[in-house]
Amino acid sequence: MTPDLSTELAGIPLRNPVLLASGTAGYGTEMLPFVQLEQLGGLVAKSLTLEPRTGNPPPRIAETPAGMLNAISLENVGVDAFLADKLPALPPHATLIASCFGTEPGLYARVCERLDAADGLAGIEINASCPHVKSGGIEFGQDPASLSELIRACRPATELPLLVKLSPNVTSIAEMARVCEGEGADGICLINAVQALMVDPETRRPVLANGLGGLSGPAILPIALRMVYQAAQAVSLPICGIGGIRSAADAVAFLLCGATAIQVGTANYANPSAAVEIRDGLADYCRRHGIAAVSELIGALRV
Amino acid sequence: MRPETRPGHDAERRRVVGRVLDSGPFALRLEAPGFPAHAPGQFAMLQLDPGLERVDPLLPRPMAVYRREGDALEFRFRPVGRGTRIMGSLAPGEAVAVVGPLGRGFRLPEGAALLVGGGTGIASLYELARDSSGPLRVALGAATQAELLGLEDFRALDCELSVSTEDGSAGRKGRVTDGLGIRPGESVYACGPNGMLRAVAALAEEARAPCSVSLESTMACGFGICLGCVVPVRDGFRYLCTQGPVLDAGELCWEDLP
Repeated sequence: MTPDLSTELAGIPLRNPVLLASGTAGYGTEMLPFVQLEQLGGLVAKSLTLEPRTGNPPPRIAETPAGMLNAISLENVGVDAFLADKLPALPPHATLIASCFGTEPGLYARVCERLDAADGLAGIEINASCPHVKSGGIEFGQDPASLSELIRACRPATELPLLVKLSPNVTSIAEMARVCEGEGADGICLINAVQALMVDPETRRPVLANGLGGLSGPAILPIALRMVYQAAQAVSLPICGIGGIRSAADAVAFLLCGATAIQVGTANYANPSAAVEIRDGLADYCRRHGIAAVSELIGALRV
Repeated sequence: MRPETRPGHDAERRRVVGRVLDSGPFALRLEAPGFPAHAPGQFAMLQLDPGLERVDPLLPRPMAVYRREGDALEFRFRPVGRGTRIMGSLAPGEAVAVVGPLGRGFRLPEGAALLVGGGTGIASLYELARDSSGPLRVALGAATQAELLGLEDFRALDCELSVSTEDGSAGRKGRVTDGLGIRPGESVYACGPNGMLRAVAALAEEARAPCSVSLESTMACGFGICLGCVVPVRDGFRYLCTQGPVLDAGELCWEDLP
């Protein structure tokens, strides 16, 4: 029996529930020696701004127990270079979701407009973890009013399925999920990295040049599962689960908690073929449990 | 289709799961059939936990290929942290995933060459020394004798070799750059700690000699997606994984390097 791995995320049909997470798979071409993108559910490309953007000085990353800290600061080639150079280089049958961000809602919206006009994109993921300049630097995703304003700006800018990637650095993820639903988003993706700090006791300084960074990797998986579960209880929007996934068992856990698809992030660094192995492992899991379609697992947590 | 490639350098890269042939505090040899051909100075990411089961350490480690003989890939290092300590104590037969070859290696010298290696940096230079055809001088330095990686291999090459240690346990006592002169017509190739590279770059600039340096950085991926391994250059940053680790000494902002 070959299990049916297909699923759907916010109206985007997916071959299987395994996608590559934004910021951990470049623009896709970098992954081609290691994965055939057509074999995955899809790719969420690195976040794009209206103009090219340079990141922080080094050190930008540090390893942590079962994870890593990063503060790259969203370095990217800009939306126009992406559309001209990166998008055409991808295999035609890969499912590609673009990610966008900006420091003001209007800048996000303009990136969405450019992406909307392009061929070959299945959807747009809004990276709501960028500091909102006009709100004094607090992340869009940390404040319900800012998040609402952001989605309201982006929604009319595109007819593509609109996903919102949520920050875990909030008191109530359910509240943020409800904001997304209320403003007409088509789906939510969670979680982004957990705000964190590493200190070098020898120098008495933060390890990263930026000071604070985002924690990712297996260390954050239980936090992510909890938040996906809570969000799934709060809204009927489709959810893409993200956070420390490195195995098919992890992916199954996210589906059980209510995710309809998952994204593999930091594991791509640890093993660039991880996503393909997770997809194969999902098929094995279904066979082992006599499950005909992986979609049967969505929200099937026994509580 | 391939990502952005540079002819003769990182056109081919792959992940293969190799097996440990032998390992010790300063060396690891893997049987890694299928690892593509590499250029001197290129590196690989070594994942000591290929199934991502222990995830401690989580990330693979960037290591210059010291030498390849058939399917045997050899790496040299010092036990400085958790990763290198584990690397030096693996049992024969254990699985290690290898992603590579990665980065831009050294271009082989066209005339006379001076190679300067300090500490672990020596490991990046052996194949360059072995494959050079012109007049060759090699200066190797380390803190102590045990850290003069591969000294016996360099001794077997047709080159003018000088050795120094900071504690005087082998060769001349002092730093590898002490009294180092660059002869007319020599190109300089160096790998070692940033302080040493800075000193070598200054000597090369003074002598107006071309100088290629191989740098190191923490890396999460090694192939251009994490963007964690930047170094400051005159017009911004370079990614050591895809644009290095070998860079022209003249383009680096030495004052901004740690």
